[in-house]
Amino acid sequence: MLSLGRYIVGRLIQALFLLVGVSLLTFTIIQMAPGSFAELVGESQDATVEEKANLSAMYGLDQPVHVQYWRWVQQVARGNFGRSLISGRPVLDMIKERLPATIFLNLISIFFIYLIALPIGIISAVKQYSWFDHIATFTAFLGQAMPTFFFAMLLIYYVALRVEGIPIAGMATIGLDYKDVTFMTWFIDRARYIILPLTVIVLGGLAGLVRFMRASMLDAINQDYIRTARAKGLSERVVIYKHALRNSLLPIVTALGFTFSGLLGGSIVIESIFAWPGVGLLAIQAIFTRDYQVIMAFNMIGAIMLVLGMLIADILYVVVDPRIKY
Amino acid sequence: MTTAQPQVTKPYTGMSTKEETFWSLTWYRFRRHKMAMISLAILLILYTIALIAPYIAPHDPMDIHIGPRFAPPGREFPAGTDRLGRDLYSRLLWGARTSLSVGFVAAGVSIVIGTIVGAAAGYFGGVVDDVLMRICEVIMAIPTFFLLLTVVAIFERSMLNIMLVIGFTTWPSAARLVRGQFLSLREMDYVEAARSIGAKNSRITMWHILPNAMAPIIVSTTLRIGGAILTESSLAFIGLGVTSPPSWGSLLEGGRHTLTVAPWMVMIPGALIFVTILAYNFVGDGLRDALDPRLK
Repeated sequence: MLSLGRYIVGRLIQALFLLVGVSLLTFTIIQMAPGSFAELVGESQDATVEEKANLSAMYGLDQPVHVQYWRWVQQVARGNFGRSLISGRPVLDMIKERLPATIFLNLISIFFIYLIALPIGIISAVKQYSWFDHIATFTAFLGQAMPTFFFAMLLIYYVALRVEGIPIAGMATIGLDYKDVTFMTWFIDRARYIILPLTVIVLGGLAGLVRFMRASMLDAINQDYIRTARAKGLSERVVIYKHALRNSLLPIVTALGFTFSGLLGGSIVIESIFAWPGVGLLAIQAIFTRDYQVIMAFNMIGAIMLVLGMLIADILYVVVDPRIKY
Repeated sequence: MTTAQPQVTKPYTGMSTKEETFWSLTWYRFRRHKMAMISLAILLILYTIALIAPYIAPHDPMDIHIGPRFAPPGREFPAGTDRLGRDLYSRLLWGARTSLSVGFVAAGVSIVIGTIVGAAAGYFGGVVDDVLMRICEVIMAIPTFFLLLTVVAIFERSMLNIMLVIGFTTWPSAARLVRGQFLSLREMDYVEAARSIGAKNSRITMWHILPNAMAPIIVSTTLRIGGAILTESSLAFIGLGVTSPPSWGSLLEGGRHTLTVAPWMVMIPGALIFVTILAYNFVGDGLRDALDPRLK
């Protein structure tokens, strides 16, 4: 196991270099922006040239580029993403207060995606070319081509506007405090609000995983050890659900690492449609107001989560599959 | 995934008969894929419409007060009218032009950059490979849609810019695909043979390796076009899409807040986007089976 430790340390160093690259790229893109922040704020307030210069100096935007970058990196390394240029609040606080809503929505979605997709993919593979397989594969194909926002609009029009008690925006009834009400009331309230965004994310994410699970299971079923297991006279049940299934789940375990990394960026469109008060909504606001500090923090945190996700995926892979050499 | 076809692994003679056989075989296999053929027909119709849109559109797509506001689809206005009384049918025809061009050009940019970078990395290996792949990893480490939003928000949102931005943010996955192909193909005997008779690197990569790596590149391009159309419409839905002339995504966004009054403003462009992406996915699937029968 000593070499596993070395492997992880090596991967961590690699990840660090990756993050430096991401910070450089993000910083460069933002430097290329034509309208400066001082102009943006100045225009709306009829500021004089002098006032604009003061504004730039206040935020250190008059310093040379490399100085600005170095200052920013030093702060980020200490976990400080600076203050929002618009609201003046620490960026990390703004993201932190939005994060629970996004994680809440995404964790429940991931749970349902796996709960539904894995059995469908497995049955599809075991009964390859059966009517079930054909319907599942075709539906997955439709699901992959369906734009999430269009599906969301369909649900709003055909379900939410016709069925009483399904709100189309927000996360909870305003003023409803979980301390004042019973658990059931709180649960039902949350469920009413989450049902639409949840359906959209789950059906959107289902297609890919069903196809992945089916391919992985088919791959396992066609292996020699399955033929051996059958030849030994094991029951089909044991062959499929013990020998084949276990091995087919290996790549799926790795996929979980990637799913984790999609948490931040994945729901921007959904949050915008359903006014879900998560980080995606914050990101869109930051982009429309050119709040550079928030945008940079977003790219960095997104990249950190992706790199961590890949790291977890790789380590999981090595741990669950002893055949992998590293 | 090796895709060396027996038809083209023979030394390149400059004669085209072998390649014709390859493509006619591919076409023969493709034709058996029913959904892919239907999809191909749908795409051909859509592209024709996009090409002749200026001649068949009954009204100018930007003219306001052509009809009453929010007129439902009917005889006079086949797709209804919008908030400003513009003819949606004409706008949808022009929208096909925008959406299909965005998909086509963005996917083209993505695959061309990806192929050049991937070919260089896979063929030369070593330091070149390391540097190029690290750059790919950096770009892929930022969630794609957010990177897109960042860039789109910063630059002027012209049609060209949006095409380029989608292309520039999605090429690394193409580069990885092509690199993998080149890594395995450069070890082939015919590459060794070409090198032994003194062929230059440019000749080996362009005329010997690339044609054999074409199958996955073509499939990936097809899927990328659908993906780019989807990406543009997602951007449009947030309010960052192509607006003059509006893409299907921008048209859908225009009806987003009047869903109860004029549902057709959302339903028709949405259905068109869905059908187009579906068609591209089916054609991509059909091409994959046709170009490399061993893959399935």
